Amino acid sequence: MLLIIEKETLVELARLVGGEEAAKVMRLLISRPGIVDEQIAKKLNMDVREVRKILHRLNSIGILYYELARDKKTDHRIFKWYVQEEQATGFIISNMQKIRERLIEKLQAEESNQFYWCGILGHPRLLFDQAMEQLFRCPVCKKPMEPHENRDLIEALKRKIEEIEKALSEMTEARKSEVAEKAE
Amino acid sequence: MPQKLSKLEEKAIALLLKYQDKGLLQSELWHKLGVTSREGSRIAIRLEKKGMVKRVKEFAKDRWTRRLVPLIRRVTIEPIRGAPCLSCEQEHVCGEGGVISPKNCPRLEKWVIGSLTAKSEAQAQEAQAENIQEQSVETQS
Repeated sequence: MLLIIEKETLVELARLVGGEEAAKVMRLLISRPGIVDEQIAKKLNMDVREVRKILHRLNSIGILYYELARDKKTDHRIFKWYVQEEQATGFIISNMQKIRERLIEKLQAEESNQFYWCGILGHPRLLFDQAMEQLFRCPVCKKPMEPHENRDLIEALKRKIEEIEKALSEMTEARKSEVAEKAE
Repeated sequence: MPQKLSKLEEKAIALLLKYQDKGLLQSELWHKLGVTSREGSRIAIRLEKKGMVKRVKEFAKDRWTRRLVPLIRRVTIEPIRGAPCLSCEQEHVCGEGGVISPKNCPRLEKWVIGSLTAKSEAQAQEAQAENIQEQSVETQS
């Protein structure tokens, strides 16, 4: 069994990590491996410092690597950038595991506590003690906080955990057999 | 992709990945790819040589043919698409006793609820698109 990572998945991964600009950089790197930061900036009409920031961010998580060379004319150091697909797979799997653990932690907290909320998505939901400290007013919008019926959130958390676990088990199984096949 | 593939092979793999469990009959594959049976079976053989599919003999539609079963799995990011953790500035202080924790992270809540709604909408759209495609194939044949 082979595990393959599609180009669009790499672009999506870059988007998740560094936003839309990072996605553009990744798309260009896929089609032009070995491209230099200044060429990327020129092609994408971006500031070269911004491009370098993105490249180093993607390099820090291991999905890009560079080769150091010297410019024959100026003798300056130049960095040629490449995508490291195998590392991207590992990065996706380990982050999925991390998010899964966080969701499980959240699910346990949701199932065993009563939360107070103003009703606006994105605003904090507080435990009784925390809500009392705020005099049952939302710390963001100052609207009154009511006990929150969290059945929908619990259901959404359960489904998301299930979805992640399914993908994880498929990928780790395929990875195991890929490693075993290589060893043979 | 681990190995160099032609455009058509990439298309075939993308199609086969949609039918990861059952695989596809060779004839179905070349219909969907829009190539001749000769070209289709060449693609299938090349993919088999590269270890990406298994060709299993099968009696279907009154004749012996081959079913192409993919030996590949796609790395998917779908379940964590849009997750706030990967780009969160507070990632390093997130956790038990930290400034923020998954228990009280509003961005995490927003994402979980939002992605569930988006998924149900996408599934409905996909089902609709598949129905339309099937109907048009039937009309053509």
